[in-house]
Amino acid sequence: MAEGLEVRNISKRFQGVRALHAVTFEVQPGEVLGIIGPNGAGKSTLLGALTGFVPIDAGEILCDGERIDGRGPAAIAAAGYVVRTFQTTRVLDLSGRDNVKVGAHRFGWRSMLASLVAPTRRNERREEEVLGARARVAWEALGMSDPGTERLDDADAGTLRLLQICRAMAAGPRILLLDEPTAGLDRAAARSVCAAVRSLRDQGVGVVLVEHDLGIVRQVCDRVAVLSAGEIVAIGSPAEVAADPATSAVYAGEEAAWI
Amino acid sequence: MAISASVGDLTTTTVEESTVERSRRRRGTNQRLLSPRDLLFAVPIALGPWLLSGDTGRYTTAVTAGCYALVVLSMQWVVGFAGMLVLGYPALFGTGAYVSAILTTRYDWPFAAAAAAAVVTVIALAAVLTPTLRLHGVYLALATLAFVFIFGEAVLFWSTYTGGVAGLVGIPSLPFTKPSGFRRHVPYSAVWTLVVVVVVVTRRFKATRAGRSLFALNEDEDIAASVGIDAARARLQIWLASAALSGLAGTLYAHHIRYLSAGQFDVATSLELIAMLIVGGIVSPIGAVLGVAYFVMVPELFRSVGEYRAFFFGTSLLVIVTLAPGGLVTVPDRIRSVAASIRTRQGSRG
Repeated sequence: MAEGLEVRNISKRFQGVRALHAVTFEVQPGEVLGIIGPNGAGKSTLLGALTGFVPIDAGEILCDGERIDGRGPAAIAAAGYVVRTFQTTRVLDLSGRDNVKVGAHRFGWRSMLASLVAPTRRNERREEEVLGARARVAWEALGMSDPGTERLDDADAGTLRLLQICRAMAAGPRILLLDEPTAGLDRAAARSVCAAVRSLRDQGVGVVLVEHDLGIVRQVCDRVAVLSAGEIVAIGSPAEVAADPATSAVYAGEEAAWI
Repeated sequence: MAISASVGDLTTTTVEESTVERSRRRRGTNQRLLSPRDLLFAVPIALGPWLLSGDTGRYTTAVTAGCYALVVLSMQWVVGFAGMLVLGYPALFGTGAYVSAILTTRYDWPFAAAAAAAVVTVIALAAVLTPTLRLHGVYLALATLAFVFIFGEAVLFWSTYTGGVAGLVGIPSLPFTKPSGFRRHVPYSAVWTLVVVVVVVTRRFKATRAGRSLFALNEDEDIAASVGIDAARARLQIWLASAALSGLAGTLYAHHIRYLSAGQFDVATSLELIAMLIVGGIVSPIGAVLGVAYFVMVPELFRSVGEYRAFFFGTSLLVIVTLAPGGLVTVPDRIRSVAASIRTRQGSRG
């Protein structure tokens, strides 16, 4: 059984507009795949499709050999297959630690009713310990320090972005999808996000990184796929993709010499 | 970046203060069973029967307020935690009240059986109304407000059972209640004990995985889904639990007040309940009780201004919502943070 993420020939149309067409690629555990492409190329649709937010019209998506297309986003994440982040730097109005614990939701077991009727310390302690441990594993995996028990909405954008990646990791996914994790960050913050991504890769997580900043892509990605008008026009190592005439066609004139 | 940095400099002071304020608030919510601040509430509640012993009218109002507090707490689960603006609570509360009242008066059911049947009926009603929960924001508010109109019509339509316009009279008191002696305190004790239990439970619930999942889906449904929280399921569960509690509050209310008419469960009630929740503190259980207390007690204080009472009360609500958007429960923190900012300003001048 193939490990990692396998995308076979997926297609998606929005009212006749082709958003994705016959997209095929795979991501191994411990590999970072960058997805680049101009605005409107289908990057967001692809992320949505892989996580169940956007139902696909055709094709198959497999994670560790299991079909995950056709399932809802909550079901895909709850089974520990694929978890994504969003572009926002907003975090939930909870303490830093609780934000990460929200990510560990699937490792809890107490029902809503049980928590409402008997939320006593003894009943909840065991579950909180498990979720707390999952949260700790996540921030340690990213090389972060304890996000603490204070609310974080005044923290800087870089911290908030890392916290979101941390929350996603607390769900213990096999594949992590990052939607422009460095957008709007300054260089130092972007560097710490890159370091976190590398650290995840070294621990065997498969990462899909949608990114506008080609410098970042070159730094952290093992392979790169170029998406244009819903199709993958080039895929391979950063050097191969840079040398591919299809890439220069997509990025004609602007970033032709990005490597 | 340069722009955001300069904005950052301008707001540094406020940022620091709000962090202080927040840490205080957090310390306040992570507390033991009863913090010193809670005694401010627990003591008057415990002493209520003595404090109000000379005034039957106010004593009755205090029990009624307890019933409202239960409904407002049940609304807090759905409106405050899960972020669903459901305004139809008088329909649930009213159904609980009428079912229990009808079973005990017209069919001579014992209270316990009637109350259980009432709660089950309200849960069933809530389950039937579940498709409405797919709506969001103002649409949800309007649709659920419609429950209240339909409820009012239903009460008039089934007047053989409900007493229609004349109302339903002769509802038996809560069991073990006697008109005089020690046992006249049964309704007060039962209702307010339940309020305290629900406040404690709600506060604990906020810090559980289930509680956090509601906060998460309220704030951002996509983020919640992306980590495996099933929003629809969580909403349904909290809605049914909330309905059960407001149904139970309804039965207590019916057997306390002993007279029911459609006017007790109309749109005005609905708006008053949501106002109590918002004025008190939408995510704070103590705040919910405080909001009810404010609505019950403060109009009394303005009684001296006679016909201008509603004007003064309305203005006071406006002031609270504008200056302390987190509700009455955040007023001490607001005062502290304003005082701190005045101090820093003076400090920087001197």
